[in-house]
Amino acid sequence: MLSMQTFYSSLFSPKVNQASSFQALLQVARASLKEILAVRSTLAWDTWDAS
Amino acid sequence: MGLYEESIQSLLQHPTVKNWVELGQAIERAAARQLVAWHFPIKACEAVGVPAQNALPAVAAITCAHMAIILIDDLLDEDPRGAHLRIGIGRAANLAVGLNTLGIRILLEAKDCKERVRAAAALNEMMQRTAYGQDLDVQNAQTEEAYWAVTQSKSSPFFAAALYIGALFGSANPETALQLKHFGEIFGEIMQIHDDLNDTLISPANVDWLKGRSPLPILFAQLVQHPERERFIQLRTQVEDPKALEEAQSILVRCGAISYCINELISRHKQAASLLGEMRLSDPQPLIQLLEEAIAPIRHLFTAVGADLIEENN
Repeated sequence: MLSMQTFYSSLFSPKVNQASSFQALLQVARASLKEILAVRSTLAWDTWDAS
Repeated sequence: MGLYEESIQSLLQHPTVKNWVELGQAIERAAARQLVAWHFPIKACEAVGVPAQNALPAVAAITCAHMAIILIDDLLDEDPRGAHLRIGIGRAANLAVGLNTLGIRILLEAKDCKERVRAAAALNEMMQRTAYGQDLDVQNAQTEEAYWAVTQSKSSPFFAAALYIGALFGSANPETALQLKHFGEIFGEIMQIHDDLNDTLISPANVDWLKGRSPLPILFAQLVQHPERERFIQLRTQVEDPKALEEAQSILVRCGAISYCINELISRHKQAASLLGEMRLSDPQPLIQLLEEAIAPIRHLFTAVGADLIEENN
């Protein structure tokens, strides 16, 4: 598990994010709050209905 | 009558419930909302190739345990939706204990299951671990290590026990039962991260924001050295104002806090899928479906922001 600070440094490092798994996560960080809210998770363990 | 309704009816017929009106009413309310977690013992039985009917006592016990956890959680969080506001703190606490002990009793009374004592012990252990996790949680963890310790104590044991007890009622071999338990532990972490994302992105600000608690995205924004950290910490005290909340949530996106949570979700999804691949199950499909539903919101998000498929991003 990456530490939070290591993750942050990797996510915003030009060297790392060019060719790594962080590209998609970087796109999330560059999205607007509106875009994130539109598709935010609705899963929660006390409300996730089985039906 | 479906399996879930059948298990609820068995609870309502129990002598303890017949003598305790409020307990019966709580169980009747559970009949109206079938949470996915309450079906975990059924999924375990199906996965090991045993009729789902075998899981009925386990479903009843897990439903009781979950209701007890929610009662206590709402008390601790001072949640405005909590039953304690309707029936009072004392009666809510009594109800939680009543539900806990009823769940254990239901398992011990399941005479057809030769592993009923082991199952009851597992439920008891789960409640004890969860209580410890709740106790850590009210101390408001402010470090990464403390956060994950709380998650592993507070959220993982429930899902682990639900699958494990289901596996015991499905007469699974011990190795498979333990693998299912481990799968449930990972799944519990997945659910906690989803919970934290929801709690953080909701509007108006919920109890986590207002009480100064630190779900995962907020913890990230507070701990990591990023250019908007000071501004975020300042906004935290103003989130009753919708504009301040929106600005704080936007910082969570920009500073990588949401991305971090997604990365942790993907990592656990892969871990659980890998474990599933190692298990010798008659039918892994019920568990594959659970995992797929848990990762679906991330797939949707990636598609919306034009990102690659998650399988290509790890």
